[in-house]
Amino acid sequence: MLSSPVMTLNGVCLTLSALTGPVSILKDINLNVHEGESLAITGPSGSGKTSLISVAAGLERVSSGTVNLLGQDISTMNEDALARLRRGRVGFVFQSFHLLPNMTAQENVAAPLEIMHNREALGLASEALSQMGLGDRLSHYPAQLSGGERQRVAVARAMATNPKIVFADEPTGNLDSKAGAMVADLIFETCAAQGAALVLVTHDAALAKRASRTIIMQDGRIL
Amino acid sequence: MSASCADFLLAVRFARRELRHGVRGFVIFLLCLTLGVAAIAAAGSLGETFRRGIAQQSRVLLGGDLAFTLNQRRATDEELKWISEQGAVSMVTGLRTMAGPLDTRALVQVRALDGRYPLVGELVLQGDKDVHAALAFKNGLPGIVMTKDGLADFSLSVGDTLKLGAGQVVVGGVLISEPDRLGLGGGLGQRVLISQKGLQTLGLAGPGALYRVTYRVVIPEEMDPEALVKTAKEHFKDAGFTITDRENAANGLTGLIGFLETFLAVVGLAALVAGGLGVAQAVSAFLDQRRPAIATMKALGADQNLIRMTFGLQILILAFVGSFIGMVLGALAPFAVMGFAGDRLPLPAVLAVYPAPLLSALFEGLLAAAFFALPALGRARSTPPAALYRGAIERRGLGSLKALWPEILAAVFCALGFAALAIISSPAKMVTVLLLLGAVLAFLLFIGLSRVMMALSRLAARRSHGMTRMVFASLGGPGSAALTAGPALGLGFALLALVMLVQSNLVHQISTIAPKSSPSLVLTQIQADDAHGLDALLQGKGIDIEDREQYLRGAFLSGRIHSLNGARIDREAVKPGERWAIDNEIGMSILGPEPNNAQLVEGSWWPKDYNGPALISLEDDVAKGAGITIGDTLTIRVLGRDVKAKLANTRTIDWGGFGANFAVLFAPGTLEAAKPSHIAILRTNKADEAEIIRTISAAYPTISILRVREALEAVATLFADISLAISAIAGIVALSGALVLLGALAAAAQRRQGELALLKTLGVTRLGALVMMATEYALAAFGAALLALGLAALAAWPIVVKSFEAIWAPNWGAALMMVGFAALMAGFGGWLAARSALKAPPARALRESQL
Repeated sequence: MLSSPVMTLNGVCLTLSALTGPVSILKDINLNVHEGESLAITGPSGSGKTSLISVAAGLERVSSGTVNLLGQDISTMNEDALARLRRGRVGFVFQSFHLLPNMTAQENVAAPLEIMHNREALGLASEALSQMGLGDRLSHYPAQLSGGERQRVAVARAMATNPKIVFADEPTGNLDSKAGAMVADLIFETCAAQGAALVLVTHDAALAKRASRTIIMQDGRIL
Repeated sequence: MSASCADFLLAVRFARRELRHGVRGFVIFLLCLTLGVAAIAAAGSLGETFRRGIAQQSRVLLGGDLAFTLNQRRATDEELKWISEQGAVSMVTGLRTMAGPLDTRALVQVRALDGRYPLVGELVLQGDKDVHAALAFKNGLPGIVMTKDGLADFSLSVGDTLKLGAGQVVVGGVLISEPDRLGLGGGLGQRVLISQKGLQTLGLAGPGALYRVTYRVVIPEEMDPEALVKTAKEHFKDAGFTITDRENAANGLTGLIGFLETFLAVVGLAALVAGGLGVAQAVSAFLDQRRPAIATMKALGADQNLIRMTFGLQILILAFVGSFIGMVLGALAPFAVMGFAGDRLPLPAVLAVYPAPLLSALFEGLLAAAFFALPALGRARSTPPAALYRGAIERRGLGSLKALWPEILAAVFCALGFAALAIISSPAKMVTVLLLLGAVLAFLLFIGLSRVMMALSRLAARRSHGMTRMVFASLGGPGSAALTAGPALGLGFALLALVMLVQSNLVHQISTIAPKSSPSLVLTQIQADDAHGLDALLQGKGIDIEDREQYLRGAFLSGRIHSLNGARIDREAVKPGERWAIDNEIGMSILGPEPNNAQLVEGSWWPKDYNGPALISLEDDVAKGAGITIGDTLTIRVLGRDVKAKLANTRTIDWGGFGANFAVLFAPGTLEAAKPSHIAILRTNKADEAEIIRTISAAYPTISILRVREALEAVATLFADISLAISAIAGIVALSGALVLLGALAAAAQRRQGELALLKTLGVTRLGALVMMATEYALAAFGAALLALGLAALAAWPIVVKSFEAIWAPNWGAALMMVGFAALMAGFGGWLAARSALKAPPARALRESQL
């Protein structure tokens, strides 16, 4: 029997305004992700993969339909309620890393813990980075790190709070194959170890295969 | 620890981490704030420095605790007895007469001192000579002292003799400083000090002569000077005394300081308003650059409050740094001003750091920064993270106002606080209110103009082709130069143009119009018995004394209007601009026939040979300002008695013209018997002036002669100096605007990198790209400068025509050159920005710009 869903999308549509008029990005999406499950989302560019995880994580508002994240309907939540819901329970790994440029690797990993007012934030961050093999890069700024190192910092940051669900958007897209494989291993292993659900957007078929389930998107719909 | 406190500490930690990386991108922000706050702080500090100086030296400036002044008479024994009962008394007599060897005779200001002078302070002569010894008689001639410059003017040295009025005097010493010099105000001619006995010997203060006697009194410490002034005014009700206490010793100087302080403060405020655009730009650019970081923090669970606090704190810290530097510069301003120009400033100063004006300036800087930064902060705070990742921070028009209400409300409070602080700390509150409103209105107009320019450019783009179309399209597009160049340059340019227009009009008035319409020479202190002899003498020198366009002579009286229809005139009820006629003894004359340049407004002129009850003609503005109407009876104290005269007519006077320019003219028949002295004006060519002066001086040594041409030249020089100083101060706003433009250009250089690279790949040459951007900025600046010139002309016209009563003849050529220069500079800036943008290889520029 499957565990309870940590994320449910019902009839989700997303329409964004553009200079030429409204553009329909997501069309009637229905999707569940369960506790500890790993889901790969694949599909061609512009099919709506990134938009799908954006609305699922509450980074983007849906135009219609409902999104339930960690047992709460986030469709009508305001920005602050969404931020508080994500706090410590949702992890992100982006293709472009999105590390805070003016914070060191240690401070970047500590940031979500600090936002939770965890007094041990910096210590826990050092531990997490050491586990990622970055114990000697604690005081380095993002600009002083290689692409693979940056993404490992991002993974450490995403996992530092023991999240219930991790959203990873093309986490290996900007990395060479060796660094990509290393980051992919870290993401899958850490999620499995912590029992976190993983929602992974990728073009890489090999990476998608490592997920327990794969969906394909095209023109804003799940095929 | 409460959650909000913990959030605050976290925001402090995050802000500190961000700021570790320096203030790159905030240089313009810091400079704009520093400049505005420095100007405001300097204004307040300088004002306080001089005000304290005056307060501390008020006794010295007045020469005592109280001063009793009389015109054309000394105090009677009874009056002097009452004054002497109050404390130690010293008498000083002041008048103007001619002095010097015959060939170089010129008007001088004479002060006759008694043995007790000075009661307060110290008079210093070269070589520490005793003043009374220097003024003592030598070989039967009274001694005088003059300044070094004065002696140099007449080519004299100590021990030389010269003529003073009709008598001979000997130079007894060189004057270094007089303690009460600043309290006396300025005047034409060199200064000559003589003893009272010497003055008496020369007979310069005899009946009919124009002189002023002041009795300075030092009262016992326990007495209240203000209360004594009240008692004295009551005691000497109608005696004609002007009584002043030390608190009012330097009303003129206090007014001057107030004006300077207000002007400088307004310039500072305008600089903050103009620089505010730079603040807003810098904050927007900073938050744009931090967009991914803000989005990431939100994704990690940071709520809007934490975002607002983290980035708000950074902006607040930087605003504090900028304002603090400005405050320190403002605090140093009085020391710098006194260090560089202390000897040329006629103001006593107490140099110190004055916290009140400095703190006020600091808060004004912080409030201005908050006002301009809050909306951008609100937009960044309220935009969803995905939108922040996707592109620019969302600007959703009026709809976004709802989401931004906390920041909009706070910005409104900041603006109100800024205005309130500026008004409260200003010595001229109404002027500050009006100028603040004017600055904001002008700022809004410039923003409006930039929108109009953009719309017109879009239209022009549709009707043009090639490179021209691209320039117009760029000027009409979202990153248009018009959006920043106009509002940034406009305010500063408008202020500079205003100063230039007022100056060019007044200089034209002084140097071109006045010499043509004014008399060449003004002769005063003509004894009634000498009047006809003088006429004959001048006729012999080729002056047509019958030609009223060449020569006019009449009685000269000094009198004070004090009652209207039997009741004392309430000065508070008189319009402030016309109180001069009530507050002072003013010059008056007697005239039979209607003068050439008198334009009657109401009533009618008396018959040419009128010889009935006293009638007067009054300047129309004074009559209206004091509520005096035809048929009213005025009581005027003149020649030591009260004369009741009925108002026959009112007239306008061309003060700069050739004519009987007296506010009060008496009809003949009432005052001639008292044999008042006469005044004459005449017109001659420059070449004959010296000979006429020599002839008059030889025949009538007591007649004072003022060369108007010289006086006008002196005024023109003084005015040019003042204009230069005002332009330099107004330049602060222009500098602030230039900084904003510089910031905008730097941002444009970065933003346009991709666009210019793309143009290059499409075949536009490097020169073509440079010309396009230079033209865009030049056009934007040209439009803004033209509007600024129009606004400046609108503001200058009433100043020139109404306040200075001068003819409106601005130097449009120079004004348009200024417009051209502004456009040229902005175009040059655009060229440099394009050059910097074109440095990067096109491939890299295109990749980085994600076009």
